[in-house]
Amino acid sequence: MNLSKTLFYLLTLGCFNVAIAQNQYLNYNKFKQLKEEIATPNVYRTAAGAPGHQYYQNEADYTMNITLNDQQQKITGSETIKYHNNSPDKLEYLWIQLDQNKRAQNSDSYKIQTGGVNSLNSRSIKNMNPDFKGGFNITSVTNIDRSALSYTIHQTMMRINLPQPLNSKETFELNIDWWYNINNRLEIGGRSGYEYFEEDNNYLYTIAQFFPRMCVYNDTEGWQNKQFLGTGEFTLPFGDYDVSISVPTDHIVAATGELVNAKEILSSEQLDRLEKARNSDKEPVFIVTEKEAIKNEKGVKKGLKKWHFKAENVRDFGWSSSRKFIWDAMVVRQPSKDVLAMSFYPKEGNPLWEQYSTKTVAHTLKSYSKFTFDYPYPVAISVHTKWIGMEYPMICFNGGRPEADGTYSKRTKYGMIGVIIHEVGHNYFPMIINSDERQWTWMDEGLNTFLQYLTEQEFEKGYPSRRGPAYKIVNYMKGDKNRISPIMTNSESIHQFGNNAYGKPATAMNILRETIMGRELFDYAFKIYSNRWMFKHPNPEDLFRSLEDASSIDLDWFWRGWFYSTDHVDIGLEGVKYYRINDQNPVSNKEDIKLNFEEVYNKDISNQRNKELDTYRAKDKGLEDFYTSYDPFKATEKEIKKYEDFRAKLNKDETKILKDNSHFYEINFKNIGGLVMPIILDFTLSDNTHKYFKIPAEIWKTDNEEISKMFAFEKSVKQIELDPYLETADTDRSNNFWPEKIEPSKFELYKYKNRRDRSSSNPMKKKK
Amino acid sequence: MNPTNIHETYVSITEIQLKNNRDLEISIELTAHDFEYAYNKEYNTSISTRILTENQKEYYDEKILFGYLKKHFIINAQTDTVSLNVIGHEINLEGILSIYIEGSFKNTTHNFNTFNDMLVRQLPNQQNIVNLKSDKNLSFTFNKNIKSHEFK
Repeated sequence: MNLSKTLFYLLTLGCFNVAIAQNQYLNYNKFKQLKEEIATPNVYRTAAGAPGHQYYQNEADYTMNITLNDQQQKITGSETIKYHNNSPDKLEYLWIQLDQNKRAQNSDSYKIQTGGVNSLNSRSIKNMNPDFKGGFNITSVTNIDRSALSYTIHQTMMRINLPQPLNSKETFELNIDWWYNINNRLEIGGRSGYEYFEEDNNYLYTIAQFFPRMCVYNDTEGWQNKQFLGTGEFTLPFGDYDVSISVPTDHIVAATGELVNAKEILSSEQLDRLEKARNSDKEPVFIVTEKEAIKNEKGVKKGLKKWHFKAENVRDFGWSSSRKFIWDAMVVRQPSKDVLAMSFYPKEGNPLWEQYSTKTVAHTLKSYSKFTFDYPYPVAISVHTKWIGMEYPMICFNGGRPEADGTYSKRTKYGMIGVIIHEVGHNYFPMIINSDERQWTWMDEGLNTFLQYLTEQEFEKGYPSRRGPAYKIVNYMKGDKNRISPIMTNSESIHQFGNNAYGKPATAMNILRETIMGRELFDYAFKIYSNRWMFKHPNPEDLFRSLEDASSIDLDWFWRGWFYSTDHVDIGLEGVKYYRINDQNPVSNKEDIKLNFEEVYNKDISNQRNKELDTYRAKDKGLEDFYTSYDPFKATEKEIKKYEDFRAKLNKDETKILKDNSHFYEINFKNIGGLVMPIILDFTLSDNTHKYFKIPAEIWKTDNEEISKMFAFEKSVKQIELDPYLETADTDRSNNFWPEKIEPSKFELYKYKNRRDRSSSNPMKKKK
Repeated sequence: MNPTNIHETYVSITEIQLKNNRDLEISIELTAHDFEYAYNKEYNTSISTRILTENQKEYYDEKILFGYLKKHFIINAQTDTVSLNVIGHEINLEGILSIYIEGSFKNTTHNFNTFNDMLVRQLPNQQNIVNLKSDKNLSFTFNKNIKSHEFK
């Protein structure tokens, strides 16, 4: 062995010993407080979960002139950004997001796609050499005086190299001119783009992430300039927008904000209808009818028309334009202000859209506001797409299209209502409660999916919600741990995006509300969090701390288990022992022993057959002695005296216990899945009455793996069921019953239920 | 962003129960919209759905569905290919397609191989989770790169 090898051996051995020693003394208790995982409270974010006394956020105001080229599907824009540095820091440079560069031919988002030859498909082959010429073409970056400004573009990020550092409390203005080719959303994909309608040769544009947008600079990330790779969405500073959009003169435009030049661009009839809509809180009013939209889509008028919008205190701007649009609106009345709920859709969306879209927008605002705050913006808009759901402030793009003959399945209807609720709901998370989506998808998608579930259930009894109830997350949570990530995983690194960032956090919130905290404590605390972080940038610990601080419930174990681990819930009834109190009375005790003895003796087959046997001793009295008449099961006088002395010494409480005729059960519980949760039990007693117990998760606080607990009842127990109302997401219910009970699998349930009638067909089609 | 419509879920969940080390009872859950998308791309045709009056649920033409599964979901033991029999399917209002399958090995077995490449060619992020319940509980995730796995 040479010296270097010896050294290596010793070092390795040393490290190994140290590792073992560390592991022995680490605290792995599942109730360990989250001090090491979450940021230390400071002047910006308090230990209570609220913004601190020196909390700050920078702002960006935009003035933009946009032109849509409908012939070439191209957008040109020039913008002025006024950036306010409210931070205490001096900024040497600014970072700006260029999301369209994700579709540039040299984009990293194409390069990082993985897979071998057997995973090739048409899209992955296309992505190796993308032929679509996407991405921003930046034609000018200048100071406010139009002198050139130094900048560096790196993929989807652009750094503005400031001539002088921007001091705290100072403002910097710059201009950027740009253009890009719009993607065909149905062929190339994307959150925004266009859909082409071949039948009438028209385009429907849903436009977003369309302009160079300021990054967020804050106390936790510095500049949030992680590249946009396609999954982790956006985080943007709040600001005021003044946007003019020039589109073909016969287009109708929907956009973030209020239309400020309605009188110049709408007909007097349209203005009257819009005014009527502002006073209609029951039914939507058409501003453009289907008949008018069909007429509009048939002819192409020359020239451009400028639509002018203004939006205050928003984090982004999105818009949509088409000559195919039908437009309807109704007012939503709130204590603090009225809101105009609106929908824009082509005839292809009907009859679903005219009946449900705007009413769903209105319902969403009412329901979400109840759990958070009054919707603070003047409009909320739902725009029809073939299939997508994507959100921007005040405007969202939603799928749900009937078949060509106007019929639709129930699935399409509920899918459409669900997507509108979800996307309109995003106004609250993350448009107003402005979390960092690039870092944490779950903070907006998870919380929004949770409120979507509550809103769907308020829409219609039995609404087929996909996510929310605990039992719906079971299949995901019990799956292969190699392909599951903790919720607290960066947006780009998540396995099973939908379940991880939408389903599991939504379920976790619902479990908190229904089981851990209860509706009253949860709703109050959730509202506190929402109002604290309205128009601000919260982090995960701000949510965790707010829910604890406003409810007096230590939830660190819950966040640790549900958000920081991939443990699942599987609590098993591992053993049940039965006990009665022995009152020490020798008379009754010996009587019990006698009964037990006789029971065994009488059961024996030989004893039964020998009942009539004429024995020797029966015939010969000379064989009798003391033991012939001695009854070993009768208490002696000495034993009775001793018992009476014992009773005389007992106090009142001790006497009461001795008289207790209860049935005692000692139950052993095993935590197989790893996630600690409350133990919820339903006991069925011998008289078929039920006793319900809900034991907080803290029962596991000293032993996280195995515990036992005693229960006492006046009657004996026939059955014990663990988690009877499916509250905890227990992944294996086969160990939830005593005596053991096998619940039928999904397969068995299907197999044995009545098969359907296969002869029927689409009832809507039949009726036509 | 809504995962239902923009395909952010990309997950199927299959529950296999192996009874007496011989009999297989299988339920597969797929997002119906994902399945329709993948089927239409693979066969360059449109799979049609029908709605029944009884319970307002939708169903596919079963021959089409069976043909797809025969190609993309296969189970066999070392010398024993199992003939899987699809006993039915349903699509619920949440948009989940559930398929029910049964089959038997000729000989008792503890180990068997599963091939699962459902939807992965058309949806490269698709993950197919298979949970096995037999004398032990096992789980494995298939994807575009891992299409075959031996449960043992």
